[in-house]
Amino acid sequence: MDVSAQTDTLIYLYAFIPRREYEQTEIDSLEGIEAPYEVEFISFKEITAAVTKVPEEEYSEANLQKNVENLRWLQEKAYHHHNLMNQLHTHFTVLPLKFGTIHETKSRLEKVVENQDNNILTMLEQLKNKEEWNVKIYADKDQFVSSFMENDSEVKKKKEEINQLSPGKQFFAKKKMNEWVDEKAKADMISLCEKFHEKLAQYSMDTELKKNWEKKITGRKEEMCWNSVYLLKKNQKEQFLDCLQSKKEEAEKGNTGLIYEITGPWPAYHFSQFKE
Amino acid sequence: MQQESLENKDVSLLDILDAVLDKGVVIRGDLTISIADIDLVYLDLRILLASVEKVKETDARVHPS
Repeated sequence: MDVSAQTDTLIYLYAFIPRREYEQTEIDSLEGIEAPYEVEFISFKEITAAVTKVPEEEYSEANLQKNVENLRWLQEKAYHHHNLMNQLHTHFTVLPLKFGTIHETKSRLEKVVENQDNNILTMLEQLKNKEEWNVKIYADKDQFVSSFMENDSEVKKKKEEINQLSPGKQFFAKKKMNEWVDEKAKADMISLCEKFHEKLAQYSMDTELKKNWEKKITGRKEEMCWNSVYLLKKNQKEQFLDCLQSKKEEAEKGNTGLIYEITGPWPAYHFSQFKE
Repeated sequence: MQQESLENKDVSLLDILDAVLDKGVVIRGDLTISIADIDLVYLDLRILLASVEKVKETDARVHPS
């Protein structure tokens, strides 16, 4: 079926996949982002593009811009984009496009593929048999501080010293100590995260540190203190996951106040950029 | 299997938006239609969604059906 046959539709581009993989794999039909259109595959020289038709009145440049400002629309379509990408990723090496990448005609898409031919093939080669995992660490600050107070040898020493002081002096000494504990605990928390990250990085092909999300975004009472993504070889992820699992259990048992959360496997969104 | 217990099937909307709106290959140019940078649109998403709910509630109270 020719995707550009109808003039009132555009071509929504999900991902590039290696043509050879596409031709060696049979997959069931997949629903596109706009019913009743399904996902189609257009093959070029060595690259196959996963696309679907979309109505022009919703996806022309101006209208698309308007649509993405509607959060309900955005939510539904972003979910679809994500789910579809996951499905493709179970069958193929995928180079995911950013949400909302659209071409007016097949020949325009073809031009883009021709222009970016080298970039696409290099990236596909790099991402072959790899997947992305995201690790977030949250800190329950009160619990972290109290566990720190119990276990830190310097704190013990300071407490003993304070007990020797007169009641009047104790008040200020305690206040000072609490300030010190707050700062020391915070530094401790960051260095714990950094060390753990370094360990995870050993099992990874690539990593990217992300911004910590604010509480008003996560809606959690615990503060996010680490957020990073890891590119893993599919057949070598066990060590990475084992390492995380034991850290998680250790944290839960020890009431350290740190909470480890992992999501994956993801298509390699964070590692899909063309070199300038 | 170990992986089962680690894998978070319940990926949040925020995770998804963060990945699909901000990451992935970007193609820009005359040949391609793409969204202008909206990577931070979702930053106040929760607040916005919450306020949408609130507006609805208020509407329901003002115009009981």
